[in-house]
Parts: sequence; structure tokens; C-alpha cells
Amino acid sequence: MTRREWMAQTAAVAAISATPALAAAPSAPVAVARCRSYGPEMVTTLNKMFDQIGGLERIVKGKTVAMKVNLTGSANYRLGYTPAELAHWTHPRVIGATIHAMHRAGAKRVRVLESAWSTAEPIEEGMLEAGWDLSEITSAGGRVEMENTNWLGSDKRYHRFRPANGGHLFREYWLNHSYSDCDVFVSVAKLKEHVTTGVTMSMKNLFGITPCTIYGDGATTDEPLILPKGGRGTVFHAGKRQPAKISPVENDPQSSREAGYRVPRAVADLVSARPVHLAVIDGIATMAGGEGPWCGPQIAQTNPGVLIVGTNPVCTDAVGAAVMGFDPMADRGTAPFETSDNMMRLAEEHGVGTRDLRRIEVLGTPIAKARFSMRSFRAPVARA
Amino acid sequence: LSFRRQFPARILHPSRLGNKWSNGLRAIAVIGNETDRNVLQPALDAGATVLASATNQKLTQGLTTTGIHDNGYKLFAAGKGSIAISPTEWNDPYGVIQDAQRILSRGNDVVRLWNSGSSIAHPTQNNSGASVQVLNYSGRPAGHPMSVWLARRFPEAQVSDLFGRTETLTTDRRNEGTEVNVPVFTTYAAIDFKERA
Repeated sequence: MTRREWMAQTAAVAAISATPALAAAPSAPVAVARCRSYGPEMVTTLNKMFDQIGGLERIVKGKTVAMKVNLTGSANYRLGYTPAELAHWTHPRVIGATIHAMHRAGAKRVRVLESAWSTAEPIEEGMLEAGWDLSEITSAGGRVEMENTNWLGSDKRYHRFRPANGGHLFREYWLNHSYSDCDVFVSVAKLKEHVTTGVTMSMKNLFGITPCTIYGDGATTDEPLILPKGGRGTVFHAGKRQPAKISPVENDPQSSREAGYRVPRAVADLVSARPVHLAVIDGIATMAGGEGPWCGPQIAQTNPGVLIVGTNPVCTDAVGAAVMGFDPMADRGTAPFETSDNMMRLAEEHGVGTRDLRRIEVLGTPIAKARFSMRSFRAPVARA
Repeated sequence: LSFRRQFPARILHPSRLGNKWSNGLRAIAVIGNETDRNVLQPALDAGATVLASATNQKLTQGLTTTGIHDNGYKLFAAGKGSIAISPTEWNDPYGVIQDAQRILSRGNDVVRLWNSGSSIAHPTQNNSGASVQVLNYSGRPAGHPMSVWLARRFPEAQVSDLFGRTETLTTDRRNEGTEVNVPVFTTYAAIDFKERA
């Protein structure tokens, strides 16, 4: 047997052994709805969508809910004159409406979580700096708390989370206690493209649950920092350094240092390690061309007017990708994954959920009627 | 340095305080160890927060602690206000401003800037309205244009540059204040907020 034959046979065996795992990846219904504004129609639309996926009571009644929202980047950074919530941040009224619905469904308490950019300040301060009226969240219903999870926070230790199959990138991740001190975990995300991972929705939202005291640019391979510093470029994107020593080194330090390889794997690991019970994607007002105002000349504010809700983040994001005009089965080299691996496929390999639209029941507005071309909303860029 | 946090402040000397020196002040950072609590009492009685370094414990003599702020400052009730004592000696003016803004919370912001880049803002109040002077010390426009919010409602606003050119701005009511989008500028812009003529 030649070396080439041996490799081909090995690959075939690997493909066969991987097939049952993909087939076994669970599916869950996803609700899609058109919604043009963040006014009262958004509350009734969301409530109807929660009913369509089986109601929130079965998920949250009597439970403590942790809700990761997407407040990426600095609070005083806008896409032009557009307030953050109309471009790259989850809108406070979507957060408030989801809290309200969960309160009505019997949730014991809701803790809103985000790792604020390069600070240990309370996330409320960032919301205020962005110009938000906090009462839209804190008075939405029942007991509402918030925590900045970019550091140790109010606990004395970090908590360990293990992805399936030993993880793609790391075999374990160390997070703030709030991701452990909850019965139910909810990802309330924005419908966007992403310059590193192609798209960002309920799955990629979890990239921000990693504390920069351990995984940040300012961290060292020694003890975690007291206060977070910088973003996650050094450890996750570029793999230039291992995280603080509380974390094991990555599974394969010889693996690719390319962000398009590494970040989708980290996201798939996190979605496996910290399972999401409810995914809510805000696509009423958002941006095209990237995940934030820093993404280059192609970015533009846009108003697709859609909401997407599901109980499985892979299924929900697969539908979200399709609504944005992309094929969730596509992979590296094909839009939107021109320069990255498909994190939905990687999470599917962990058994989190299927991205195969043929296996996902879509409720409410059919994908064909909700679909738009996110790429067509990009700003024109002059070519040299 | 306070203006780098868009945090309006002024310097007061204890020996040159007038009768109404504390009117409208939300917080007072006490520099040095010479200031007695009775000098600060009018401000405390009006509900202000006094911040002081760890070397200034005498300010809290006889007061009851009400807890520790999450940035480590020990809090004491005093009059209608409070005294916050730093856990360490102050040695960084920017850090003091940062601590003051954290203890007061951004809910008390007077002015907010978005896409401020390397700009600082100086708000002032006058009889007919208020002004925010913005200085961009990088000398070139930021990547995205700037928006400015002032914590008071005004129906009208205009922006002026160093050469006297003016432009009327559209005002947007937001969170009990007024927000305006400022046209791109390189060095200096004065935004005048006015009551309707």
C-alpha cells in the first residue's frame, strides 16, 4: 500500500465514522417573523414566536436564566451616526421583551451577561454610555440582574466548561461563575456578517463569554489578570500565546494560527461546553459587511426587519444564515465562509445541532419569504 | 485629564471658596490632607459625594460605613451625601477621575460623545443655553463622524468652527437630554444648544 493509498483509506474511515455523529446532531424548530420596528409589534411578534417553538414555560418556569447579549466593542463607538442598538448591538427592547416574556412564563430571575470591552466595570455603565435607558431592561419584569463576565466578577473562582469530543481548540474553557450559576442559558444576538467567521448570530455571540483576564490580549500565561485588558486577538484569533495557566494549553499548538481556522473552532467548542437553551436573533435593524463599526469601508447600516427564534443555536443560526441569503451547508471558500471554516459544521460535529435545512422545521414566515441578500446591503467600495 | 473621560470638572481651593461654592456639584475629590470635613459639610448636606485618598481617613471620623463600592472605595454616610475613601493612596490623576465617574455612575453624565477618537469636550452653561466645545487633538477627522449628547433638553443647536462658519443641527430628544450629529471636523467645533428664540 502506498502512502497516498493509506491516507485515502484513513480519510474514508474517518468520513464513515464521522457520518453517524452528523446524522445524530439534533434538530429543533425555528420560528421566523417579519418585524419592521422595535415598537409594540415587536413584543407581540416575539411572544407569538415563543409560542410557536413550544412556549417559554417549559424552558424557564421556576428557573434562573442567564442571558448573553451582544454588546461588542466600545460603548462610544458608532457606525456613523447610528446608535449601537440599530447596527451592531442587540437592541435593548429585544432584551427587555425577552425578559418580560420569560417573567410571564415563570422565570425565577434573569441575569443579563456580557463581557464588556476591556473593562471590569458593570455592563450597566456601558449601556448608559451608549445612551440606553436602563429601565427598558431592569423594569421589563421580575428580578433582573446584570454582570460583566469579562473577569472573575462576584465569585472567588472561575468555572470549568468542557466541550464534546475533547474540544476542537481547547479541551476546557474557564468562565465567569454566571455561566454556571444558572439553570437556563439564553443567547440574544444580532443578525450580522462577521469578517472572521462569515456570520455572527446566537453561536458566535458566545465568543464573548470568555473572560479577557484569562484569554485577553493583556493576559499572560501566568495567573489570570485581576482586570481584563484588550480583546481576544492574541490568544484566540492569532494563537500567538497560550491563555493564563488556569486553562490548559490548546489541544494542538502546532495547528493553524489563522483566525478563520481558530475562531470558528472556539465558538463551536463554547456552544458545546455551555449549551444554549434559547436563541433569539435580532435582525430588525443591523449592519452589513461586518460585526462592528471597525470592519472597514464595506460596512453599512441596514433594516432587514426579521426576528429568528429557536431552542437549538445551530438550527437557529442555520436558518438565520439562509435568511441572510447564505447556504448554511457551505464551507471554506464559499460565501459567507470565503476565509473561514463553518462554525455550524464544527458545532454539528460536536453533536450540538444540525445545520441541514431539510431537517429543520421552520415556523411562521417561510425562509423564502424572509430571505434577503445581506451582501447587497454592503456599502460600495472603490477598487484601486 | 478629566476631559478625556468627558467628565466636567473644575479646580477649587479651600481658602478661596465663596458662600455658594458647592451649588450643583455632584462630587468633590479632595486633594491633600489639609481639608476639614466642616469645609465640605455644605456639599455633603446637599447630597454630594466626597472622594478622598486612603491618607484622608480623618474625614470619616465618627461616621458610619455603609459598605464598599465594587472598585474598593469604603463608603460612609455624611449628611445627605457620602464620603468615599480610596483603598490606596492616590498617585494617578486619571485614575481618580475614573474612580469618580465609576462611583457617580454614567447615569450622571453631563455630556456624552460617540466616535470621539482623540477628542475632549468642555461643556459650559450660559443664560440662553449651553455650549460644548470639542477639541480634536489628533488634528484629523475620526473614522466615523461624532455625535454629542447633553443632559438637558434644548430645541435648537448649531455648530461653529474656528473660522466662524456655522451650521444648524437637528436635535434629537434622548434620555432627558439632547443629541446632535456633528458634521466632520478636524480640530475644533463649538456646539451651541439654545432655547427656541
